[in-house]
Amino acid sequence: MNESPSPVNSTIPDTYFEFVLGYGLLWLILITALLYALLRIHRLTSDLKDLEAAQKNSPSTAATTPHP
Amino acid sequence: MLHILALLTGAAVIFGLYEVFLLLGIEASQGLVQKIFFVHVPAAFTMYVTLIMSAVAAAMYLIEKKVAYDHFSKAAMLSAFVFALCVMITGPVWAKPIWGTYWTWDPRLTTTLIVFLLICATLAVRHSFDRHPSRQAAGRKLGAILAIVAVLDIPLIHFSVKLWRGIHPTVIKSEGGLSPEFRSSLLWMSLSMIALGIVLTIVFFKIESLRDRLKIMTQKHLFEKGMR
Repeated sequence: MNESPSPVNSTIPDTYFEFVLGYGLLWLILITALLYALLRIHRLTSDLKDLEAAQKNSPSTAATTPHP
Repeated sequence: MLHILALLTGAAVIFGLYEVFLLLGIEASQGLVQKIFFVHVPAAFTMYVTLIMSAVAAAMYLIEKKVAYDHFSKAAMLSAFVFALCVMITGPVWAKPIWGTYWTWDPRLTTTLIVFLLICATLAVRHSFDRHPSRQAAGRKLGAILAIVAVLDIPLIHFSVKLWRGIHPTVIKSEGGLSPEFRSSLLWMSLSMIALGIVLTIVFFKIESLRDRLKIMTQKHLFEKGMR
């Protein structure tokens, strides 16, 4: 019967699973760290804005702020 | 400025990955898993760089007592943690099909584990002391000392292969070693990963500065409220 010859690179070990696992976990860590950092900055910035707004609206600062 | 640096870094990393996946061939003896080399080694270099940055800032804090140095040291230590975690995960995943085991008490692996544990200890100490305002200064001092101790482990990691003859291969050699294509890809990925580490450190530093500002403003706000 006609059997196709084995490809030249058949000796290369099959390590596809480890390759996907390694790269997958690495990017999972890096993307999680970046997302965590960006979300934290977003939350802190909005908290700061809220606090600044609260300080502006408080009566003690309103008394010292000149009327437009 | 940070946005531009982040975009450039992202582009550099994507180009590096394109080169590794599409332009470089598959290594004959290890197969696809060998491509982990192009992120495992750069992650280790980035861990070194961020640890050095953290230790330098820690030393500056101990000398000048400026809080900004302490914030930078903590930010760089957080980046070092991220990249050390990458090293600690990609290494065993790569080792399993090549060495037949996830972990062996090889000198380089052991010294890397020690530095990873030191990074975790530094962050844990800082976190626990941060909760008590009266102990914050002590926590910063202890964090700075631990950062300097952690950086002393870097030469030990680097020269452990030569000193104790482990099974972990040496990447940087004066003669032989990698082929020119592999070498240039490794260099590109290392530089892009180090840039990513620097971007991450700047972002973490920004978080620390914002946290500090928010804390001061909250105290001021509460004080003003109490006065009324």
